[in-house]
Amino acid sequence: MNWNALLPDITLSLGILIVFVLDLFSTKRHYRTLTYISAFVPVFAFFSLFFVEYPAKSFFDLYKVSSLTLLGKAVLYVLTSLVLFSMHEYYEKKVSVYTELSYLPLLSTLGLSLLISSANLVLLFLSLELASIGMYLMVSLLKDEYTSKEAGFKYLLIGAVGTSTLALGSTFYYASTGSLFFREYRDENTLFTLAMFLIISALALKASAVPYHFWTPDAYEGAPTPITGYLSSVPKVALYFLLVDLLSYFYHVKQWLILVAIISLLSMFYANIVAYAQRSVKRLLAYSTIAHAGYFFLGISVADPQLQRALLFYVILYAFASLGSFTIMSALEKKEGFSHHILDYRGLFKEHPVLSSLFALFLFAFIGIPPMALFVGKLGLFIGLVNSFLLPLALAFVIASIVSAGYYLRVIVSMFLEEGEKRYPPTRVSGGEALTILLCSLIILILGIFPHLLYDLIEL
Amino acid sequence: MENLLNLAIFLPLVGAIAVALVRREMFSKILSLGISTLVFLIVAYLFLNFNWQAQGFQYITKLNWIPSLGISYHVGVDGMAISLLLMTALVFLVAIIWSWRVEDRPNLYFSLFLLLETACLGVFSALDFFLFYLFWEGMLIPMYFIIGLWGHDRKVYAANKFFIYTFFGSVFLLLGLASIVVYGYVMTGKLSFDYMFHLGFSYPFWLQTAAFLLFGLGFAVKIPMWPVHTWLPDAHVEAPTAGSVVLAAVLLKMGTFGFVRYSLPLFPDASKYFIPLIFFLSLVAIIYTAMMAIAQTHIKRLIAYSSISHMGVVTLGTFAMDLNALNGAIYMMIAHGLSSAALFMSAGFIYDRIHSYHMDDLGGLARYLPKLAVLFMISGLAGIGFPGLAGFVAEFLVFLGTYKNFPVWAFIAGVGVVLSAAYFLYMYKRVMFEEETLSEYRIEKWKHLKDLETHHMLSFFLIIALAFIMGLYPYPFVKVIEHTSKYVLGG
Repeated sequence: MNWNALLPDITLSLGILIVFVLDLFSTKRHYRTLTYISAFVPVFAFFSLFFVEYPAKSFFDLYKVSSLTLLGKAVLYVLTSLVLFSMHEYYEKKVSVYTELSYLPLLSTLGLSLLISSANLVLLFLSLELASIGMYLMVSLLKDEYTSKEAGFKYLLIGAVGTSTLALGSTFYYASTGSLFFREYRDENTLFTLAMFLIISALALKASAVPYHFWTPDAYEGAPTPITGYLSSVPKVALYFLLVDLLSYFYHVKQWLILVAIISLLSMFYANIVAYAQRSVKRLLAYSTIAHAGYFFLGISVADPQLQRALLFYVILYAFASLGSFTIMSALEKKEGFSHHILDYRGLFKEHPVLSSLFALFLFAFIGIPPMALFVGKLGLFIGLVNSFLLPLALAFVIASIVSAGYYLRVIVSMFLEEGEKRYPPTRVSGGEALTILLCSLIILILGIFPHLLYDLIEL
Repeated sequence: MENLLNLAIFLPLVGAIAVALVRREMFSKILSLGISTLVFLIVAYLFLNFNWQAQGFQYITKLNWIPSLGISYHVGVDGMAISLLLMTALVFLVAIIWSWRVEDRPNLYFSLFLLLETACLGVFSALDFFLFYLFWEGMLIPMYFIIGLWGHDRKVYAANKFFIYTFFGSVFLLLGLASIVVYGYVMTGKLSFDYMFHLGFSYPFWLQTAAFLLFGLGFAVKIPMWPVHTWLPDAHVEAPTAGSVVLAAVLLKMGTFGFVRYSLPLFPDASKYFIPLIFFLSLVAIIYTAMMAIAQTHIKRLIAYSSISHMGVVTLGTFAMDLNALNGAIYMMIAHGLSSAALFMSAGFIYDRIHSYHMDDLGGLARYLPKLAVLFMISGLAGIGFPGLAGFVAEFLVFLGTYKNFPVWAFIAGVGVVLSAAYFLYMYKRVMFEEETLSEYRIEKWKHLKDLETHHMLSFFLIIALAFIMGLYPYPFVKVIEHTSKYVLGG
């Protein structure tokens, strides 16, 4: 047994247990201390990554370590830590303090961290469930908010469908290949195609791609905003690292390209058009996530190292931009009566020049304007797609991103160019929130100008 | 010398950050004036030291930037670029002098202008596709906020329209860039965004056609060519005066610059193949938009349409495949930059004093604003190509060159250009003369109108002086420009 390979996950688990035990002996008064303690757990896990030797396998080959999985874990830990640093004040202001919230994100992150490393469908299933159950809970933990409960319930139901789809897909996979390990399997048969279809459907559901997206807008809108930030960043990163890994086992199936192309085209166009009908900025960003899922699926349409590197770069930066923007929204939501309706954002620039400027920065990054780093991801996807002779898909991507510019601009317009009466008292940004927002925007800007700092780390 | 070019590009960026951070308004004004003056002096020095006999780019800096993607920081100028840089630096200096009295959030205002200046100077000097695109998109956000925050009544609509149109074009441009970069990668196994690297290729015809169309769409929106021109009148009408000046003088040139710098040398066969299409669109622009201009009663909208019409002349000259015509087209970019800047300043000044752009509210102004009347006339004459001013040299060269290869097209275009005299003189008559429209009320109100102030005079002086120099002694400018035209046409 290679324990060294498991080091980061063990660190994380130990941390979770410590926080869990502390939680038993503490009351709501200690909530803030608990979150700070748990925010440091991923930091330790992050540093433990440097002591892991790779490539390696462990746990009867169920668990694998490569430079890619380590990078994925590093990103997950950084994101989780940022979420934990920034979330406590939101709950205190909302008078909805549950001490469990200090370790639930860690639990989900543990699941996702195992997910990246899984080399076997059983581990994949278990880790995905571990992550999902934590997320169902987090979505519904907001006191006296009906929408939060509804969101959690909806997420649970649809998520359960996804889980069972994955289980069914695994069954077919076993039936056709005789093993639950991922491995090269070149035979073309219906059973294998079906397994591929079901597994991809389940993962697309978790990645909120159309037509499996129905939980996304409701869960995003109903969930407490820091948790929405978590949902839109951490699991997405893990899922695409997993998908890039799975790609090498599935891409040779004839229907792969068609399936992925359909999912991504539907996601891009459906979400970008429906987003125009939204009045709530939170919901609008949920549709933006769906649209991005469409862009990201383009990155796994064929196996091409250029394309997958660009995809992972794009996903990582997207996660930071998304976390940053949701953190700004949760800082704003601490105002009494602030509801994320687009009208609430009017004239925000006058009240909060820094917050709104950074929010605009993230929105421009979503549109894909340089020098924000998401642009480099977009360019990388273009290059990869053209390189694989998928010019039609690249053109569709171009058109979709043009379509998307309008709704992001509407938020920017209402923040900067429209006058709003001052309805709410100004909000104070807590230290953790400031840290998260600043770090996310710095990462977006610095990696936009020097993308190779991250790009060279993605080794395929 | 090389470092001076880099300094000129990034000094405004540093200035923009500094101006945004300080609180004192006077300090920010002086700082931005100082920086734009310094940049102008540096660029003028580079222009004077430019060696037009030597071949190839000059003042080159090349640094490794993103090695794994084959992207480098590579800047340098040729004759066209250095002339456009000179015009850009001058126009920004003038825009900042002109805005001396701006009252609404001056720090942010000047900061955005300096940011815009970095982007514009960068576009003209970048020799790397990635760097070029970075600057190309970099101008989008400052201009968006300049229109959106300091514009007139329908500023939000105009700003959004500007943003979406330009973004529409530039994403296609990005795809075009990606496709030729990938072709280079497939052929040589080396990923490179370098312009020089790609200049050596001869692409297959299918790729040339595809890339020409993708690039062309990006450039056409910016120029703007008919039928993607509709954002321009709105943007101009709603933009603040200095914003209009920069938009007309510098931003529109990025498109035509792109055609000369990228489309012609990289895709020579496709450029020849698409001559009829480009000529058709140019002629429609020249004649149709000139007629649109005649129909306007809003003076800024009229000038905006006249810009589209003049840019039609530029695209005509660019694709005439003749040395003189190409020289003329590049000359026209600079000449039009100067004349449109002066015209928009005049229109902006009228709005400052009378608070209206509509001809019906004006009329008989010459008696009350005599200095403006003179300068407005000179600006207009510069625009319509009056001998002795820069526009004349440009139009003469364009038609001379085009006539040699395409007499029919040149004839029709020449007839179209006559319309420019019609709309300008018509506007001048309605705004400045027509004293019979003066009512008692208006006379009473206008009696105390203040004519041009010192900073206005200074702005006009700088622009018109260069227009006269370029009109009366075009030789050095044509020589510098020919430095580009020769290698573009493969001579």
